[in-house]
Amino acid sequence: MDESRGQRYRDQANLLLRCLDSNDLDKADRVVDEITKFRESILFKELGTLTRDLHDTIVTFGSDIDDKRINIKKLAEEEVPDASQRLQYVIDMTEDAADRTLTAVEQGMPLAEDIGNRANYLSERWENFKDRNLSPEQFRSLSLELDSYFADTTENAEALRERMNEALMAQEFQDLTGQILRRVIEMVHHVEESLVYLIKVSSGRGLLLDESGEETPEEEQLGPAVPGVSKPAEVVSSQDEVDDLLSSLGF
Amino acid sequence: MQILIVDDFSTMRRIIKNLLRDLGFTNTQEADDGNTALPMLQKGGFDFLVTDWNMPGMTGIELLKAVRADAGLKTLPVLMVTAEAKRDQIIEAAQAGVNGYIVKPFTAVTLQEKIEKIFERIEA
Repeated sequence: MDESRGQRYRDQANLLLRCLDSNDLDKADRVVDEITKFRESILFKELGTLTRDLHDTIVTFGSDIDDKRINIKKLAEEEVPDASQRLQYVIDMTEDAADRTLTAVEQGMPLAEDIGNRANYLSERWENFKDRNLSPEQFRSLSLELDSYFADTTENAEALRERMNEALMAQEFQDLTGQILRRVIEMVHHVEESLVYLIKVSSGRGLLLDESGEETPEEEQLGPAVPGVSKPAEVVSSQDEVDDLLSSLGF
Repeated sequence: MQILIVDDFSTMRRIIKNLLRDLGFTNTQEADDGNTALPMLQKGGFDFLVTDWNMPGMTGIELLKAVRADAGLKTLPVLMVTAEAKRDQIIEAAQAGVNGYIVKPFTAVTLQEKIEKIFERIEA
């Protein structure tokens, strides 16, 4: 194989030299094209072999459940879908938070505007009163308007405070999504390590890999419960369930 | 009353701080994990501890255990506010002597209820 490859290169090289000697550059170009084509066909053949090896390795590993260091089966069937679900949950939570915040702001804005606009209007009337430009009739009407303004402003300010509190509480997603994203980053890191290992194995150097390679045991991982990922029997789904559990323990 | 808020996410510390201020507790301090919080607590002056569970360094459950093991701090009321929702974890916290347990996401009303309940018990 190597010999015929060498012979073929030599023939083409000689041909190329002859073309150059006779100053036939067009033909020289064609010879170079030939050489390139030949080289590419070798590359594709090697790529094919490599792909085959990789595929065989994945199949072997997929069925080799005992090998804990790298478990492609688990990766493909559990970890990647698990990560997708976590990321979906992050999208849902951030969307919900944005929605809550925007709603609170949209509801709060008119309240603030109302307080400001009416204060503006009333202060003009008040100036008129101070300049003694109001009739007793007009003053009575101003006095009534002031009464209702004070009552409404007290109410509006409380409603505004509630909206701001709502916007504040909506930000708690950041803590939860942060924890979830950290878990996904860990998983991606694990996938990366596994792929590097796979490449080493498929190139025949896998056995040289450090045997003390870290295992990923089924340890209890900390982090928020994610719907569809966490096992329902193990986690509580509401504050009421927490309270029930605690009261069953004598709390 | 001086309260220490322990959480590794500053957003959550700010939320809790603002909620507490809304409930009338204006004297709060913050720490980002158990290792920072414990020396602050040991210096004295705190009447109440609100802590997360999952934090790098020293976790909230470790902090709770350290507080209960410290002669000067063992009666300090501790409220956990955490995303950890496994039954085993809630039981572990209860056994370690937590005074209240709130799972995130939570509401302002829940926080108020749990704090009131904790102080009712202490005063009773």
